[in-house]
Amino acid sequence: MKQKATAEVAASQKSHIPASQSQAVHRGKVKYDKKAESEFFVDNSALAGFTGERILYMAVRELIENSLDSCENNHILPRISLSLKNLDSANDMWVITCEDNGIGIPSDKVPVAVCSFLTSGKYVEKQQRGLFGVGLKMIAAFSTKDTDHPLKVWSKSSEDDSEYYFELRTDISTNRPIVLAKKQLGEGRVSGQSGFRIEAILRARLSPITKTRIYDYISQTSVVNPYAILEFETDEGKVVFDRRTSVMPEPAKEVLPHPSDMDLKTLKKAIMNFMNQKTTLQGVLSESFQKMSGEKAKEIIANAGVENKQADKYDEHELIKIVNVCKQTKFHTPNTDHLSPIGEEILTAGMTSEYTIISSRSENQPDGNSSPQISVKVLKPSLTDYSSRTCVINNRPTIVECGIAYGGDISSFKLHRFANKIPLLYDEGSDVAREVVSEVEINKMGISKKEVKEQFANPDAKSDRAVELLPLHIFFHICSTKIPYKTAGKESIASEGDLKRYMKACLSDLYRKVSAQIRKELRMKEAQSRLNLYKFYIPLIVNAISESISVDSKKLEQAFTELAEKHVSGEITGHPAEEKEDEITGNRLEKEVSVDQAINAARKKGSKSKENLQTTLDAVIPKKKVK
Amino acid sequence: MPVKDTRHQEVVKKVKQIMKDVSTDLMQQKTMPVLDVPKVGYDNTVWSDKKKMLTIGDKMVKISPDSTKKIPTFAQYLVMANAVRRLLDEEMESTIRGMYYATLSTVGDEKNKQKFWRGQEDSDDAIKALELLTGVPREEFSVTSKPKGMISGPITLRVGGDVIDCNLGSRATSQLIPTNIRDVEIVDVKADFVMLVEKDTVLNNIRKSGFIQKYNAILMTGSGEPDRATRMMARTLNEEWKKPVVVFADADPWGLGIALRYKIGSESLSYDSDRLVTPNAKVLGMMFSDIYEYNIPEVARLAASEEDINRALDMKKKPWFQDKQWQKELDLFLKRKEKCELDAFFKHGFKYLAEVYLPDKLRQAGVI
Repeated sequence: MKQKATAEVAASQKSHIPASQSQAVHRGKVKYDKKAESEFFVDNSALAGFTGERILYMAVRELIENSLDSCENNHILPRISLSLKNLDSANDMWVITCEDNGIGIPSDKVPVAVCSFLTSGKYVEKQQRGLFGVGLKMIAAFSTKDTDHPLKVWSKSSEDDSEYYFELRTDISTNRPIVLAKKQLGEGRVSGQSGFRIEAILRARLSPITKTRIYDYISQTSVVNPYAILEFETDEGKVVFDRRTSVMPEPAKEVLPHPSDMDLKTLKKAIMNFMNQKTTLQGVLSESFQKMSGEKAKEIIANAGVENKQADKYDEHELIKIVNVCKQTKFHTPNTDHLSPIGEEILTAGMTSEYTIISSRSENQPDGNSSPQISVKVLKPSLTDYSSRTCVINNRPTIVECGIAYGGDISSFKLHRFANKIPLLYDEGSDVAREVVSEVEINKMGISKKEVKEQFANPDAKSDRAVELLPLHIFFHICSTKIPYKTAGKESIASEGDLKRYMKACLSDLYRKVSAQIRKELRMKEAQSRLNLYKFYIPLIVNAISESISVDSKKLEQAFTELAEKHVSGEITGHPAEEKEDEITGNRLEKEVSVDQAINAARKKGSKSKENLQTTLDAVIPKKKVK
Repeated sequence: MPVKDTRHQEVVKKVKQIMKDVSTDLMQQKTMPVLDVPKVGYDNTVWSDKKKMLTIGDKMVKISPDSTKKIPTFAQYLVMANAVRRLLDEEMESTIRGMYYATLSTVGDEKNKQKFWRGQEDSDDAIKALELLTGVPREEFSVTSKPKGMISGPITLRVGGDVIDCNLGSRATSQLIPTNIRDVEIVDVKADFVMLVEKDTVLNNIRKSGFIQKYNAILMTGSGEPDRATRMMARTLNEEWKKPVVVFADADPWGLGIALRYKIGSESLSYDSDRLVTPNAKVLGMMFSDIYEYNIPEVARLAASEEDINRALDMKKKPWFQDKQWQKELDLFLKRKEKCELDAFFKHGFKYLAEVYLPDKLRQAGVI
């Protein structure tokens, strides 16, 4: 429509009619067009996040998220290879390729699934990464719009006997796929039993910021998907994120809507589903909504003051009464089967070896042309912990998960935010998680702001907030079928309802849980700096003495060093009382001891198998239950 | 020369004893060594009514590597002690700055490198600690400071082998007071009294006027805060040569403080007062009342700063300031809030200070 409008303006200008007159001529001639979904989304690409600099970032996101959903929903341990390479730098052409070992798409559905907007297998009430079935179509449409290359797709669906190859373009004006080629392949590209591979050419700029975002996105995705192997290749090299656990989250189940969320549309749709079955409204209600027993349905119909008859015999006036009663009735809180939290085990696996892509310029280039190379850095913190809460936000059950990783290879503060397992990278400042971090008192960790500022003084720190001086990574994951995003860009979460209160509770839990360890680390750190001080000064003192009097300087230095070490360790064990004060931390200490004992015991048995060790550990550490 | 050697040997022996004690503690006793050093500073300075001077109290500081904060200090003291021993072994002498440079080094590894001394003040403190530990003033172990005191008048010194007649230059120049006082010997003093002034500019003016010849006086100045050699010279002339000592400083709390260094000593050197202080010295001027008695024009007066006022209020409470005359002077200052330098007399003419004011004051005090 926009294009047509411009054409008309151009035409009117050509005819040299003054603008005012031209308007007069066209008055009363408004033209009503129907626009194809594809055209609408291409014209309003910002709705799907495909704007300017973000195109490649969004393409990477959409492809990885589709692949993860395709694997996870079907209990397949994901293996995803993504490549982003420059094809023609003069024209900003990029080839993006993504291959997974998911269930693939049946050959007869591939063209619409790839090209037709608003065609999706995801329109159900359960937590998924993608919801609208727009991302892949956006890539197809942009590729069609900006290049003369077809989209290449290889799909090996578990429903098909063999792999199929497609060359596709989108007919943007009709939202229909154009199939340029379709071949059944004997020997396919896809290596596993099933899988999906797509190759698209896109025209886009890759600014350094976007590049960093893409790297961050992939790094953070691996934190919450440690059961996935992620391969990522760019012009700067290739990195592989290993699989760190074979435990996968329980896939989300599709659930019935909750009655408090009912409206006229959902009710009518429910009744439609029972069309021709002569079911009563009571039957429809109890079959179509969760937490709705036959008894309860009967009560609602009675309260609405309408008679119980065959479901399709009601008019809208009667139905809205039912809806109104449901809104006012208290039901059990919705169940959370349709949510798929990351879980303690998986998030812990992700946190204990946090993979990060780093881009560095290699110095050994003989030609002096030092292009940056990417590599993987693995951060192993000295401790991690996990906490979660289930709550209802906006009538939707919501699970808040929080993880914390401290010390070890971690050298600075970082806040990681995830919504339905998708990393949120933009707009951190306005996210509720940011407020939570600044509002939870750091002294819950057993350390004061002053201590932190003394011990962790860091000239590179971006903020002088005490918590941001700590070598601490905080992870927040919110999962819900309706995340309270602040903006259409879906990059920050609003402080809706009690969400913030639950998030604060999680973080406070963790601060308390890690306090004993952090205090211990602080003491160790201080002891180390004391020992260093002795190490530095003892030779000077010994030298001064041995120059003045005849003395065995080696023995003197040894005696002094031993004394210093004894002295420092005496100072550390000098305050054991603090640790026993807190019940939680006390438990934790005991737990640590028994873990050590378990490991030692396992080692003594000569058992080399990790499983054995794991069983021993499982026996010692009581599994925490997610309420 | 042999005399000197025994004195030096004594210091070396004391240093070695310190080292020996430390190594015995470490190797035999298996305990952290401790150096007990008398505390120096305002909170360990005691007014002795008997001696009429500031003396050191009995508070001690324990310097031991036991505490992390004290490790550097402990090391600094031992390193300095060893450096002094080397200096004496080599029969050399050094200034305190020289000792600082001789012992400069860095501590730590590449990541945590820091300077052994944060500055010369640290090294000066270590030298002071050694004086306190050995009970020997640093001049005795050939560590001196840069000379800054000046002397002029009928007095003959022998420095090393050289005889210096401080009257030689007559009106032309003054002699720097040597800081290696161990090597200085007063051969003869022909003067009737000793006059200390705060600043060298004032001293030069007085000398030029022929004051020395006219009144047979020795003129001395510490050029501001007096060093040990200057204070010691004043004391020796008073105690041993029985010459009256008078002091003139600016009429402000600061100048008064300087005058009092000679008469009662200072907090930072309270442990050495017996050697440095001249309790018989008379502080004759410049009094606050002199500003008005001698009609110093307003333009030559200065407004007192807040610091001056606080200093004066503080002084009023001190036991050595309970003399009625002084209390009156301080009250006057606190009332008028005006101060004045001796140089202000130049407003009345270049010779006014030496020919009118000083003789007036000396006559009133019965010195001339």
